[in-house]
Formats: sequence, C-alpha cells, structure tokens
Amino acid sequence: MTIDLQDRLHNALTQRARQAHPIADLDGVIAGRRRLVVAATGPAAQHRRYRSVAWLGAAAVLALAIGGAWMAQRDDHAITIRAAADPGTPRLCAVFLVPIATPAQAEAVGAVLTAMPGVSRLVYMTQADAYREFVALFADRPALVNSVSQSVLPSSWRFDSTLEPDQTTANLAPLRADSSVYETRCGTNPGELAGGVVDVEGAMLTTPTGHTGTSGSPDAGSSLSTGEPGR
Amino acid sequence: MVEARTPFASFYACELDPRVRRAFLLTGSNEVANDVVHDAFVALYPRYDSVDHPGRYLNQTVLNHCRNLARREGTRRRGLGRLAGSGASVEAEVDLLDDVLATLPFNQRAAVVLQFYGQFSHAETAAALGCPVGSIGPWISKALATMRRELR
Repeated sequence: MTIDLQDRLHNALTQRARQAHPIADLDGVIAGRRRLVVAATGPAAQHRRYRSVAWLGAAAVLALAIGGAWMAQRDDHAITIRAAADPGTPRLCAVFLVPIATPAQAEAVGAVLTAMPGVSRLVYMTQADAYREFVALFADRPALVNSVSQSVLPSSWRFDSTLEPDQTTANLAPLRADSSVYETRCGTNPGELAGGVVDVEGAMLTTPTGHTGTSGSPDAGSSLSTGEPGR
Repeated sequence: MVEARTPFASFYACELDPRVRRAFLLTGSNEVANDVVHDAFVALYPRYDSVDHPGRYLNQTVLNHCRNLARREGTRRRGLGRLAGSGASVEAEVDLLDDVLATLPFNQRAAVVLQFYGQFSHAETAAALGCPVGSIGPWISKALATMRRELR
C-alpha cells in the first residue's frame, strides 16, 4: 500500500462524487413538493413526488392501526378512491386497492385510469412499495412501524389529475359502478377528505371511514411490476 | 453566517450541487440523493429566514434522511467480490473502497465521507450527525482501522 488510505479515500470519493447528477428543481422546493417516498432502491424510487398521496395511504393505515375496528368489516375487492390536491399544483390522486387485490384486478383498474382524461403520471405502487413508503414516512415512530405489516397496506394507483376534483370524481364513477369499488372522494386538500385528521409532520391526513384491511394473502398485488403508462 | 442572508434561490443554486454529491456518496443512488436533498430544501424553505444556519439545518436534515434510509437497508454487506479482480484501474479502486465503505456503520461512513470528501471539520461533522464532537475522531479511527483490515 504505497498511498495512505486517507488519500485513497479522498481520491476515490472525489471520483465517485463525479457520478452524482444533481437535478435542480427550485420550483418544486418552493411549491413544497416532497419527493422522498420510496427511496429504497431501484425502480421503486420512481414514486417520488407522490408523497402527498403517500400521506393518505399511510394515514389510512395509521388510522386503521389505531382504530382497531378495521378488521371487523372486510370487503375483499373493495377499492377506495381518494384524491387530494395541493393548491396550485396538479391534483394528486390515488386509487387504493384492498390489500389482497390480485394483479389482474389492479391491472383492470389501471386500464380504466389510463383511458381517463386528465390523468397523467400514472404509477402503480405495490404493497412492498407501500410498505417501504410507510416505513420511510414513519421512521421516527418505530412502535407504529412495528405494529404494521406489509400485508395490511393497500397497493394503489397514483396519478396527477389536471381536472377539478368534482370532474375527477365524476370520471371515476365507472370504477364505482364496479362492485369492487365502494368509496370515491375528491378534494382540493387532504384535510378536506378527512373523516378524521391526523397530524404527521404538520400534514393534514385523512382517516378513511370504511377502508378495509386483511392480513391474508401477503403477496397479493406485490408481484405486479411498476409502470407509468401516463408518462 | 450571520451576515445578510442571500436569497433562497441563490442559496439553493449554490448549495444543491455539493449536497447532492455528498448524499450520493452516502446513499449510492442519484435518485435517492436528489430526493433526500430536495426534501431537506422543502423543509428548509418555509423557515429559511428564521433559522440561524440554513446550511447546518440542511446538513442535519439530509443526514437524518440518509441515516433513516441506511437503518432500513441495514448495513450493506456486499462483500469484497471485486477485490480479486481489482487491477490498477481507477474504477476498480473506487469500487473497492466503495464496497469496503459500505460495510461500515452509518455514523462511521458518514464521518468518513464528510471528512475525506466534504472536508468537514470534526465540529461540522458532529453538528450534522447530531453527536458530540468527541465521537467523530474515534469513529473515523475505527472506520480507517476496519478498512485497513478489510483491504489487507
């Protein structure tokens, strides 16, 4: 070892740092767009920018976990539709599927959403993604994280809607006609959607009123690969 | 840094690059690094005028994010598979050290990156990691000792 390790480290780190590609997004920062949703590894990281919606999903679980009553009811194929919007930005929407939804069911919903006007940046989030997101969001609350397993987290479709909430709701009506859908909500901010409100990191979160969960079928939906047909 | 505060946009323009690069060294992913740093800027923006040291605030937020991510991932044990094939090329050297670095506990790894890449003082590193200044030296010594052992 002719060169001191400290110099080697400096050289190697400097070299490695050249491979970094900072991407400026001042507008996003000022608009308060959170990006750290699924920061684990690989393709899942593409779900950044959907943190607002992630809050809804995580809040659903939080509320469910705390509420305790969520195991009482169970509708295996129910889909919750929620939408939220930050003022001045495209409205962030999510269609949550029940934890045991099959990939086929998820794809069917995705197909409907793909065909829907005003929908962009459609992304499918598996239960595994949802769990990573959940763990990241509540990293400072280990007790909560430990109380929730991946199998109870809903997979979901995430998308931006350029339409008004009412219009989005109307467009989602076909999904509601499906027996698998039992709730549709749209709003201009997450708080508006709330059946109950939880404060996490200063964010208003919604509490689902009739969301269902199950500990069965941990693999449901998680094998579906992510895709972004809206991009 | 008590002098007149530069506008946020200028601060952002100056600070983004080095921070993403440091986060990249700690997370190993451009995407994650950009996300982590941007979330820190998002958190900073509303209180930019009120915090005493926006740079320090950013450091802490970014490091916290990185630590949480590292905690979830667990310490990477990628092994030294590349060791055998490492010739004299720069890439091999970088990969080699990166691999060894990746086996260290987060605080040691962060301290090494901040010191040998970021040129942070022990005090700055301690502030960013939220630990006593006295911890930094031993962490770095321990890290270097481990790395020497692994590299032997």
